[in-house]
Amino acid sequence: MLARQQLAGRTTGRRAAAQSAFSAGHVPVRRVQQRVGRQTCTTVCAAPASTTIAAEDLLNRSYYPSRADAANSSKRWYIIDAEGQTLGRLATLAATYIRGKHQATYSPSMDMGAYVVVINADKVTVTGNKPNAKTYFRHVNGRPGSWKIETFNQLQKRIPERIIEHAVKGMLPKGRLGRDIRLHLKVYKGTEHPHDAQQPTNITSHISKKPKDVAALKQQ
Amino acid sequence: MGLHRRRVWEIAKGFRGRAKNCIKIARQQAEKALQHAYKGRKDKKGENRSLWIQRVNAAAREHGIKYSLFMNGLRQENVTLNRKMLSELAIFEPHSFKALVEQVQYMRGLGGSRPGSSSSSSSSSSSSSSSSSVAKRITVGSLEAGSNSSSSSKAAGSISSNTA
Repeated sequence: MLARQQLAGRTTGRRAAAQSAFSAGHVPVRRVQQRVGRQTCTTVCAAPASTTIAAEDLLNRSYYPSRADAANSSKRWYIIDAEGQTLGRLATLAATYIRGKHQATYSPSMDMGAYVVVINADKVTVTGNKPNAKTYFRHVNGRPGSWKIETFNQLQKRIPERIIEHAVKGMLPKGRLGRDIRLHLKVYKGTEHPHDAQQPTNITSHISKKPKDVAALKQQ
Repeated sequence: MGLHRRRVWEIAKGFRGRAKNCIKIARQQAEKALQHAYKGRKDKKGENRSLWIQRVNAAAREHGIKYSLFMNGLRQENVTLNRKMLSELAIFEPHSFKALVEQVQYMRGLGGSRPGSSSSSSSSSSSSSSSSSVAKRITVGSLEAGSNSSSSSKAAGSISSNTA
């Protein structure tokens, strides 16, 4: 595409002013000619001559990530310590980061999220009577009638990682992309995890709290 | 009848099964495709706006303010940037976006010093947090420093404000 400055053969009038003012992008001239305040914009937005002209329509195209933007190697890693944390609130935070909704570059169709490591999964808590009342259902065999139900306590003794994985899975989108980004959650039972090389940032303090807990913390 | 056969074949390229080969079925599916496209063109406007709002929300929360309070603050400050421009600023001009957030926080009494008085960082290094390839695009706002970028982006926003 030719640079817009080259195409601006007309040298007079509002059209030239518009094209010189927005030399970095294309402005549909049809709309511009109705605007009265065009002249004042010219001085404010004056761009130096060394600006390169981008080939695309900068002002009228929303951001869509490229493959390089969504590359796994550029993704951040975060770590959450689940000890004493409420299950749902922790899972919400993890799901938000995995999905990429914490960043302005969020795109629903691409995986723009981060990796989240959860440690101390066996120490996550739920409130009320849920340790004995919250049930986890699973199919065993594929056959009718072949299912098992276990409580939160039982599952935490057996496979504690599954509790957090189950919670986060429910908060992620269901579909091809949702199934892929589920794998970006890494849950571990104790404090050891093999992701030290990724230097994950600790976001445990970002877990939401109940208003009364926030007020209690403020008083301290 | 319906769509002309030539047009049906044009539209039905890539359809599954008989819908791409047999005229009776292809014509039905082609007409349905056009209906979907019509509805989609209308939905696209709302979907895009929703995406911009989610992006602005995420960016604002990075700076410690919620979308609702941020937009309310912008309206009170008479900043007429539309959501599309705000989301583009948040991605490509993070310093400008931060200046807007600070302006709103100052107006609400949440922020610290008056924004613009202490020039924080240079504008030329508008490195976004996500990836370096994103920062290569040059926009109007990146050429101005500090508070000036708000006014230039204001101009950029009001030009396309009728697409908000």
